[in-house]
Amino acid sequence: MAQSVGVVGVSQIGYAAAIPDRTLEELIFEAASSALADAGLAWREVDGVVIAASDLVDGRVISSMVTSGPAGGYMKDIVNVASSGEHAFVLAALQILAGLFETALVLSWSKCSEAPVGHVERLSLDPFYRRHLGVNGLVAAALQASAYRLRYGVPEAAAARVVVKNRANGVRNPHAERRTPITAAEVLASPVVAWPLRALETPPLSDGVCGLVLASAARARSLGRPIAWLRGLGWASDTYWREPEALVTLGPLRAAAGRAYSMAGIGAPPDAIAVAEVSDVTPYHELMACEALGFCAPGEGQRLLDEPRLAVNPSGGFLSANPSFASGLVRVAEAALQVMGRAGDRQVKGATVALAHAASGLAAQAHTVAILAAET
Amino acid sequence: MAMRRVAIVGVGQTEHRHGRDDVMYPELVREAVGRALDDAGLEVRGIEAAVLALAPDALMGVAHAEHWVADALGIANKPYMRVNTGGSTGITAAQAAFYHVASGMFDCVLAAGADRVGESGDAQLILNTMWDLLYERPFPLNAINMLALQAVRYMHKYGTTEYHMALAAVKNRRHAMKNPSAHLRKEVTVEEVLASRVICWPIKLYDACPQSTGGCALILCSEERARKLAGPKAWIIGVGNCAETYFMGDRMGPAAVHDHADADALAEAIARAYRQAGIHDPRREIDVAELYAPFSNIELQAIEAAGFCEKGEAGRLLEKGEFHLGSRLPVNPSGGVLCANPIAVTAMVRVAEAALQVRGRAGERQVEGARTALATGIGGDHQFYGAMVLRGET
Repeated sequence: MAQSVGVVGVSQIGYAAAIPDRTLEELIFEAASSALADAGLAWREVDGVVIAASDLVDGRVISSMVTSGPAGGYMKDIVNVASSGEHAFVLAALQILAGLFETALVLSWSKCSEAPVGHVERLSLDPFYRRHLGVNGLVAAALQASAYRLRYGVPEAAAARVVVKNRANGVRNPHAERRTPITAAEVLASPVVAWPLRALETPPLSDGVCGLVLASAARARSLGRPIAWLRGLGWASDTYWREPEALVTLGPLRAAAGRAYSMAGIGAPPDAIAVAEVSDVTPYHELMACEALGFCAPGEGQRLLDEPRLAVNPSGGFLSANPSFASGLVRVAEAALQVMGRAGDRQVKGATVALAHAASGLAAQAHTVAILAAET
Repeated sequence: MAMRRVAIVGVGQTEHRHGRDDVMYPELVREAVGRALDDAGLEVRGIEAAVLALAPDALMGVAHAEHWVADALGIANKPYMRVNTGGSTGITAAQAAFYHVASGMFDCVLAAGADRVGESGDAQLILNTMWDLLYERPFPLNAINMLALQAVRYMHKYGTTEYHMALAAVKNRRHAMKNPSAHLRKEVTVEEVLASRVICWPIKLYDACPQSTGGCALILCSEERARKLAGPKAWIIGVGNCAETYFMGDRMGPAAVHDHADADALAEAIARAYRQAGIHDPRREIDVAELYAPFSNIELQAIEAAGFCEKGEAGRLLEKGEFHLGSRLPVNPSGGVLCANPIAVTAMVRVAEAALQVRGRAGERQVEGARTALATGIGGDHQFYGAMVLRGET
């Protein structure tokens, strides 16, 4: 990249099944203030604010009207990227790369305890052909997981191992909603909620806000704090109508990763990357993501569990906390904390390069990959 | 700032109508995209990334319809995102596409969208949910009465009357006669505007925009890629954004930073775009403006915020014939938002029309010799303001 972009501040408020004592606006203000404090940046020094929120999850049309104030948008350039939290990160990075902004505040949130998330997902289906099927995010994820299982004969035990790993990781993450370890036996004994998914193989729906502060290279260095440098960035969407095979091969994820790797000069991803925060909306999705990201060959995701070549989801992933619309941005925040060396008890020792992967849309229609690196 | 130069090389618009029963939403978007590709002389495979302009999901009746419409933008396995800033969504999408190219990551990016406001049930019922559940929603506030409050305040402060508002409506209806894409193509007289049904005083039926179904698309290229295309270019030389407070009550009274009568945050957004473009005297340096104004009173305020005259003067200047096609600085030669309002892309239409003007492709509504144009957008409760300055080749 001609310009460099650094992540210089991170805040995470939550994540919890419900945060009943504060309004969404209060949580956003808290996240914006603490992200700026973390970066050592004053609000007046912020050039642009990029938020990502869903009107339907927030419960009003143009919800950014009321949230732009607490997000710090007053008299600023503020944009709501309404497709997903990770896309807000992307747009803020583009603004800085263009050389027109030196600093940007990125925020995304969901207060799922007050939102009919499943209903919003059902309404996202076109009204002519699909809506009457009653498919929501869970059912779409289950269909995709079953396509993957059938394609490669992935045993249920492998899925359970992913859940056990991520839940054990979540215990060390103070922002995780689920902070109790579970066993494979417990996972496999939990009821099937949408075949092949069992209850413990599905993520919670959390309340919370995630914030990041981005800065140009010069501005980032002037702050004198740890910096996570953005070295590679790619994002891509699939079409709405997809063939079954496309559900498993995840072409757009391969395209996004290809672009990010090429920008970052990464040839052998599992050797170059120490930590990956990937979209594990189900354990099968984590395995599929690892394959599409090139950590292993197609269908061999389960073998990574026996011979891990890098740490995957040390935060506990979606399976431990899921502030829905913001969960993709959380992956970026966690990857940044790892290379900043600020990930606390979940720190992967010596992590200098981290990957963040986020997916959005039913059955992971769109994917984003960011490569973050420590100062070298 | 040595910014990477970015040009609009293709513009596509559907005809804006009350409704379309021959296309679904993705097809409507595709119609605009196809026209933009034709205009640019490109094929869809030449597009590297796309930004969708889609305002309130509820108007479309599909949650996060960006997923549904992805195919229509031809983005399989390509970068794609959606923005929503209410009425300014269209210009926000144009700006986001601009950043895609200006960042150096892409050479050819599509911004597109569509809306079908008149087919959405009751748009104002939907827009009522913009407001605070406890204090404002029961009022019931909507997009019309919030701007009627602005009109009252403006009239009180500057002595402007309903007659001055009517002048803006009459001008734009006359302009729309020259624009085949416009939704309302019927001239009205001042008397007819003043006698039309009161919707929320002082806004009357003919002071108000229609609820339109329509699509729009823009193709933006880097200088290197643009030079390979034969058609004329509209160079993006200034981009500005600025957001006001949400609570309109905070724009009145002794503690107010800005007065609800004025669009000071719009003026700031435009000033940011002017600064980047090196515009010092807009009255001389801007040749044509497409200013977002869904009600006649808002056009008066927008003209002032653009620095085309002093605050409170716009109505009296309209009376003298300024801002009409044929005058030194025509405002909304397309007929403006008053003659077509497909919400998600209304502000993109402003950019598209400005681009057509500086590219010399505006047909009967062409402002002769137009070299530099201003386009603006307004979203939320007069809250999210965007501006772009475009310049032709000469």
